[in-house]
Amino acid sequence: MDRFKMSRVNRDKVSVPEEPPGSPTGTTYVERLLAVDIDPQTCYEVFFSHWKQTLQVFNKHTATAVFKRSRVSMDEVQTVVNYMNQMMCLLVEEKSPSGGVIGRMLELMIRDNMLDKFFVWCSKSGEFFEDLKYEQLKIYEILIAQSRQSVLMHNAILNPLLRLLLACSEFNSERVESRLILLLNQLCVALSKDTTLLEFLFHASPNQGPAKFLIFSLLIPFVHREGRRGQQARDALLLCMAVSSEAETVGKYIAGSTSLCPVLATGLGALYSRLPRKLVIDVDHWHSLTREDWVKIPELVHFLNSLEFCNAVVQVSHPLVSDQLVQFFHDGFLVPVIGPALHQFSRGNVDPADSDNVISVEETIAATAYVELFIRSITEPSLMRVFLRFLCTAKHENKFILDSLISRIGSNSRLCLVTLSLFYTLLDINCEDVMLQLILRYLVPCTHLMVSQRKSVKDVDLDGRCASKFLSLSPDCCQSKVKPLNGIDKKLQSKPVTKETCDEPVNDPDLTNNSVLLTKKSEVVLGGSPQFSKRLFGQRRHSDSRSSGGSSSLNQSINGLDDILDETLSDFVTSHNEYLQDASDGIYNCVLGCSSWSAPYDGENPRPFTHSHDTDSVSSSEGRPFHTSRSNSPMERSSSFVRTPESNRKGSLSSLSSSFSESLNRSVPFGSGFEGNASPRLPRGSDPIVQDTIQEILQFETGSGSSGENQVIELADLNSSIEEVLNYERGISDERNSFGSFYSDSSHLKVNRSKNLATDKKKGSRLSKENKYSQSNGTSHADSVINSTSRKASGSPISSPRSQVKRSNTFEGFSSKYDQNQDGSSLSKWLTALGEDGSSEHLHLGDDEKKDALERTLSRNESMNASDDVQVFWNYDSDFDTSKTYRQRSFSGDTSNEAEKILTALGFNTKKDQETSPKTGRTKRGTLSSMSSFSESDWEFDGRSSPLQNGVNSPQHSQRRKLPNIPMHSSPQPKKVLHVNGNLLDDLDFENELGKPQQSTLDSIIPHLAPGSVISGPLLPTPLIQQVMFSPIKNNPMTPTTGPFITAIFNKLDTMMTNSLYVNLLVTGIITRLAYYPQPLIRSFVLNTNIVMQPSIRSMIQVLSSVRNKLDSYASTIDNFEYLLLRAKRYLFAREEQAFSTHRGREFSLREDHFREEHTRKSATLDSPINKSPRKVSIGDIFRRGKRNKSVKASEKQKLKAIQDMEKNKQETKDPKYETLRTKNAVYCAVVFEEFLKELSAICHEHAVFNMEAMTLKLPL
Amino acid sequence: MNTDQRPAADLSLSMFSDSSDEELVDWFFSKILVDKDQVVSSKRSVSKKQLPKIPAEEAYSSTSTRMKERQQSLTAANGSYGPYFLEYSLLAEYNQLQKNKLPGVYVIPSAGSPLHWFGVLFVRQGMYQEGVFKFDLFIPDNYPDGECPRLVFKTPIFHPVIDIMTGELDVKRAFPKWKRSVNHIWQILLYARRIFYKIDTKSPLNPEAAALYDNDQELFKGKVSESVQLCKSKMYDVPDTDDPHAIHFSQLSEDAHEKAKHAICEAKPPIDEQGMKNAQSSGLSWVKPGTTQVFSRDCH
Repeated sequence: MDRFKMSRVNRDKVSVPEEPPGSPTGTTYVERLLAVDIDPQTCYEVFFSHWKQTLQVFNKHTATAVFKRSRVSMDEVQTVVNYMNQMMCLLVEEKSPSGGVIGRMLELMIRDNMLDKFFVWCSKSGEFFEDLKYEQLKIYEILIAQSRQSVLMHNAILNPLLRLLLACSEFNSERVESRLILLLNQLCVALSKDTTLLEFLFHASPNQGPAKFLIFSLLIPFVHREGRRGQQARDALLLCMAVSSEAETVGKYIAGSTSLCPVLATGLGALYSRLPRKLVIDVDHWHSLTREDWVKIPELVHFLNSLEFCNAVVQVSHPLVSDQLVQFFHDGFLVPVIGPALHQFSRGNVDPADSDNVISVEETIAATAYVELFIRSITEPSLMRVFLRFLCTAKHENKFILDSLISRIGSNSRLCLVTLSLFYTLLDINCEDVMLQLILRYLVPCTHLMVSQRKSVKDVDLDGRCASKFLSLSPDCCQSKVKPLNGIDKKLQSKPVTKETCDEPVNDPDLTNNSVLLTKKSEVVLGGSPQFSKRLFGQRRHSDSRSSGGSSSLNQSINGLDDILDETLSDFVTSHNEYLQDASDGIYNCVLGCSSWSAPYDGENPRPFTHSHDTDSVSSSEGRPFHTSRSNSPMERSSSFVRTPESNRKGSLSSLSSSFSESLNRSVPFGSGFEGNASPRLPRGSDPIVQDTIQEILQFETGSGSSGENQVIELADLNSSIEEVLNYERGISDERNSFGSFYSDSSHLKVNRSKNLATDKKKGSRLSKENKYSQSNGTSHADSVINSTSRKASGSPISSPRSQVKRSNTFEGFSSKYDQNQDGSSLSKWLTALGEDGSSEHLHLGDDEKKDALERTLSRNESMNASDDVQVFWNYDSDFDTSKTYRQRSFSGDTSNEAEKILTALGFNTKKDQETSPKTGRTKRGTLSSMSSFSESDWEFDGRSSPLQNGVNSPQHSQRRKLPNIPMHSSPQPKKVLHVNGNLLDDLDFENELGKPQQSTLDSIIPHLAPGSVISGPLLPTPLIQQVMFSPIKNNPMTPTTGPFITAIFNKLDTMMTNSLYVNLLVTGIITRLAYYPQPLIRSFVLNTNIVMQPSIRSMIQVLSSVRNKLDSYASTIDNFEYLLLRAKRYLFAREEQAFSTHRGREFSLREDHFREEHTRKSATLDSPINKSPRKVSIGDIFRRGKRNKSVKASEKQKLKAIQDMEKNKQETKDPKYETLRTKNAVYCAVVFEEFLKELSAICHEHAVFNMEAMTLKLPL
Repeated sequence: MNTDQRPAADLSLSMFSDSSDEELVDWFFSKILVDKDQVVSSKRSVSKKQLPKIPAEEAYSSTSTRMKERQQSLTAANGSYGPYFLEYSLLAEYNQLQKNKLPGVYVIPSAGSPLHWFGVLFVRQGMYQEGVFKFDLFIPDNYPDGECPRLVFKTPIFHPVIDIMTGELDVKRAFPKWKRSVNHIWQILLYARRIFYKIDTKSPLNPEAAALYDNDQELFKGKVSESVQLCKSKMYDVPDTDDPHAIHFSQLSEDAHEKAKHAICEAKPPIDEQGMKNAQSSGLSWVKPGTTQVFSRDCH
């Protein structure tokens, strides 16, 4: 009313006509009436007289309408509105008399059909209609919200209301619109209070007009509105849906006749497109969108509101509606929007230097961060299901989304960080399907374990052996040389409570805070340890240990800022209690979260070998129409019939031989390594027999090649496919053997899916390498034809042309397959697949190399056991540039620009390879398949090391250290062959060539490759080769693999020393999170240091040992490493302290915010998922080792810079740029690594003592 | 002695088996009052029960040498974390003990030191039927690398393998060499329980008992009965330590008994209702049970 008046310019000129009697203004009069609670009779009389007055105005116009309807005047409008308002004020105060009758005023209103008349009059008011709509809406709002009697079931009220609403459905001024939403909201609130109204509102329809559930349809256009109105509309809709969740008809109507679901889903797409395509966040450690980040982006807030709304709709509405919305969410948002958004980068893969590509990388980073945020925001299981299924099983442009995500783990830093963060989030939701897809499906068959070890899967680290193993890996460089490690003692001394003897009476054990008490005699008294006693009583420990445990170290660190000179590393010992507490909480939450899983995953259930990847994919194609299926790829389909006797035999053979060598080294009962075929059972450790058996095995494997190799080739049979692959791999390893005899282990083939981005580069380097090889060696090799590796007793350099031929054959098979696919993405998949196959491990040992190899395997194993001795595997410190290359590899995504510069600076002739003849160019392709099966460490090695060192092209570091002892064979070629320039720039050429049709080149390649060689078998027709070659790739259940995700993560872990601090924090955080999982398969893989893996599987302990060795050997080359370490620790501790305090403060205000929000939105009873938990497991948890640094403050940055500067000064002798970066990374790596080990150790401990019953039972004591 | 009446202690035992948490039992025993006259053997336990076997050592012998080698390097590596390792080993042992649920054997670590456990053993059949034997378990402080833990009965029992003077059980007989991660404390308790059911007279600690058992069963039974009675008469004695966890028997108080019973029966793991619905906090699984197919099950 007031607003109405105010809106009029000539307000003063308008005199209110016909004042109600006895009052200067109507409002005050009515108010006075109500205030003194005058008897109902008086009220009725006033009401009646008002109505009469109003009616006069109405009639004036209807009367004159016979002629020409006089225009409604301003005064009249005001009069009517005044009267109506006052009447409503009276009406809402009317109490309904007892006896089930309605009050008199209401009766009058219904009888006279007042509101209908009002509406009719208003609709004829011409220019005032819009204003009157507003007034009417307001009147209804008052009526509905305040009336003491229920009014909506009366048709005389409902009908004009619906007519009004219908009139509002077309165009509305902004003012009316906000009123409309408010009214609709009121209606919905009324609806939620009295569900019987649903019938009226749903079925009642205005005389004209289509909409059945008018209030609902009217709200739909506002769902994506910003601001308060949008919120009100969404709340209202939710209330409607919540009320109607039980009503089948309404559900059907909403799903079938309204546009709600499509509007919501497509609206999300539209809102997504408005999101910033690039995120401008300068903090270098940024890896995921925190609340602070996204509140600054209004578009994102808006999007999240809508997403939250979708989530809520799925949650509350009728199943029909939620199902439909979930489907639209998938079809209308995930597939068309998220899919492409996540893949902007992959198409630009070809040229990383391209500026477009840089942009698309930025966009992909943003998209990944968005996806991560969305997953964190969704709380509704069915919505989560469709999202996760999309990420896990869907394809985009013929490439699995999950595969491309995994491949980015190996990419450049920012994309890698964001992707890691996404994976952390995926791991953190305790979803069985995600874990199955990422990890468990590879562990369930148990092929990663030695057969004899399968029973150990369930073992729990009861006596802390694994825990202490992890601690024992702590790098030497982290041990303070100045003072003994006495951090714990120090802390304990500062504690008030210490007990001298165990006889001392303890009244309340819970009062003592110390978990472990060391007396001065350093005898161990574990009295009153809260963990112990509390657990005994089934209580969860208080988390106070965190504050008490952490504070002392923190205080130290703060004080320490002033006088660094007095500090030692021991002053920065993190609290082990905290790690234990975290581990305990983490495991508890994870166990709780996994309680609904379908199987325990303990190595027996699901049964090993029941799982094969293809059944998985086939079945997953069932079900929903929009389901994308894994079996789409022809490659996989063709491989589905691979489980044939032959392949099984081969598979068991490989496992036989590997387990054999393994058992030799580990004195594991040997027989268990055999898979039940005619293999001999060997007594342990008896050398002659062992030798014989090796011979036997080798002859079985290779002899089948030597005697019947032609037949093998002629076998136009899929069954031979594995044989085929193995043969050509062996061929390669043969060549290696002939060069340096250190290649026998190159059958540790690890191509990482994750390195898809980097494969181009690898290809390049391999190309150049192989290229040289074929140029110099091709002919000479062909002359010496000895077919079987087992006959290499002479030890002379021998090449096997057979293998070469085969290799090229097989490769042609691949490449032509590739061509037929006509699909860029299939290449990487193919490589991946090959890599996976390649990882099927088998040692091929020549007679005299046997021992060498065994020794090497031994030493490798030793390196795990006796990891105390420093292993000098290679000195990559010798030149910083190589280390740069090394770095480059891990970030090769789009840093090759830099790499190019470096290489050029180093004098590498990047054009070298282009000079090679077209034919040799093709041999490159021929070697691709073989080369790609080498581990990436080969590559990194190639790119970095001197010719001599190149001789040791083995992926195992322990072998590298053996290098000087291994005599080079007298082959004239090796140096040349192995002189590899790590050329990164051949990718393009290579790619182009790959793109060409390959079929025709098949014949020309073979003669070139092996001019003088005996091609004994007829060449296979290409299609056959395709089948042959593709069959074994993914589906051999015997292939030991832990899957691409683990491989990628472990690779990242392996390069820890060169990773940035933040990458390391995330990677170790992911592994930590993984370690929380209680499933024995996961637990044993991550935490059981005693379990023996297949040799081709890199175990956690191997990777950690390798990192440790790298760290130690690097640290020994840096003079002031300990000093740098100290500074790094101090920085991290200080930073933790700061972040902790700010974090706390922010959390507090955040909670307040939330509280307020909840308060104001009381009407909406739904939880807001986003506000509630920005991140359940805070990012601080990831950064536990660096610790709870939610964001780096400017001051911290300065500190970091100071450290950098300091390091720079120290390092001036060497190249300032790279060397400092490298040193910095290494120093931080040392800190993170040490803490990571502690964390793993703590998790081991907590797993051993975990007792769900004790955790959950709370006894009233 | 009224054997028809359902004994109070046994009632509690049956409840324990329901709530399946031995830890409760310990709590129960440290708090609840047990009527002397009613602590009798259970009717239910009369039926023959097969005692579980102590794990054969042979199965582990192949790995033991390797372990030993490793052990040395590991203990050195522990360094300042040693106390944690001890504590967690013991926690793990206790956890295992809870899971194994040895019938009639209850232990609780003392409040003063986790290396000292109090225990009580109820013998439910055989010659030592009705025996209620309190004992102390002493764990060496270099556990699990050190010697075998010692088990000493509070009141010396007339038994071939129990020292009649000290009450110490000949644990070494069963565990000549304590093997880390092969032997566990629950095995000692199992052994302690078994000696009362299956009497072995070879190389006895108490030659008199052994001789009697072999030659004069009646006299042996008499002596056994004497020592059982002695133990029972001493049952209500105040523990010689003031450790709050020491096992303390007192007369049955119905009130306290009912309260404790109620607490045990009502205690249920808290189910986070809200959490189960929330996809963020509750685990998700759409894997059809029995398969490893992802997303093969629908939401509803």
